[in-house]
Amino acid sequence: MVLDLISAILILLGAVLSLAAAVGLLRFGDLLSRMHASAKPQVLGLVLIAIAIAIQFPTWATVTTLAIIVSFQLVTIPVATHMVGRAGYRTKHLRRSMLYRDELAEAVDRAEARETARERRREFGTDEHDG
Amino acid sequence: MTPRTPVNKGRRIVQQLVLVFFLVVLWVMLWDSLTVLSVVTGIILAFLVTRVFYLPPVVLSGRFNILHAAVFAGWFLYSMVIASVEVAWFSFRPKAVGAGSVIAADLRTRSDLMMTLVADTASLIPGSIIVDSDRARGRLYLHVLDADTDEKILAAKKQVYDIEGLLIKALGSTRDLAALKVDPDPLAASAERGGTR
Repeated sequence: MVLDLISAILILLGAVLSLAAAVGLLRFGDLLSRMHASAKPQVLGLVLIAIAIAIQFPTWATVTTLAIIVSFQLVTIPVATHMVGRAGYRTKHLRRSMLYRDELAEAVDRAEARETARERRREFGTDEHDG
Repeated sequence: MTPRTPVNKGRRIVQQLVLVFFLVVLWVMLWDSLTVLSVVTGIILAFLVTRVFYLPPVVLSGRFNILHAAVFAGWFLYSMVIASVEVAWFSFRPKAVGAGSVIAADLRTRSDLMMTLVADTASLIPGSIIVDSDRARGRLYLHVLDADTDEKILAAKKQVYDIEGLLIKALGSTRDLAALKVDPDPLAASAERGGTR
């Protein structure tokens, strides 16, 4: 009875966290902020629901399978967010107004400046300082 | 790159065996039963997988401190709960979430494995997700949610360096440990060099 109550609470909390992820996806202002919503609350939500299932079916078979599910979530979610965030940044799906400071832009600017200088040298066959 | 001394070769074989061991554990867990058949097929498959889908070997440091690893695990679980609740609150609260920032963090480690672990951890704990990485310089670019003041940016950077410190203490190489000792507080060091770069 007590265990049932605990699992019920855990499942409810997990569902609320997953809902929070969905609401965050809708409400956050730009792509990068939205990645936070998709990455975080639902991981904990999934963990809580997995614990609830483990309480209800406390066998090795169930627990090991749940452990695999949770660990693969933990390993793959950062990769997924990284891929989407990186692709979004590089294709300039950004809202500058949603960024207070951007230290990656400084690095990109430097790299682009180097690239332009190299192209110019290639075009003229000389260094730009040679006139 | 590294010379193929016998010591090196021995270490590589051990590393391969560690990988095979974990693949077998995974396979047995998937089958939900520890039988001779599942273990034997697991070993065969693990060798096949590591041969057919060959990846550059993960360079393990050969160091593992279980005490620091436990500290890291506990801290990680705690932070993950905080992170989830925080982001959940941001999505439910009436006020819209403010501007974020993309910050750069120069890690002290140069190991691919450590960089990956730091990036993974930083994505799951409060405030930050990884946007890009510069492998040659050991630099990570992270997006921080709701970071519209310099203090919040500094706090986020400090957190990334803290993660790195914890991970290095748990399973970093001796080289990384030395780097940690030389440069225990990168924020102070970068301030001395003339502000945030």
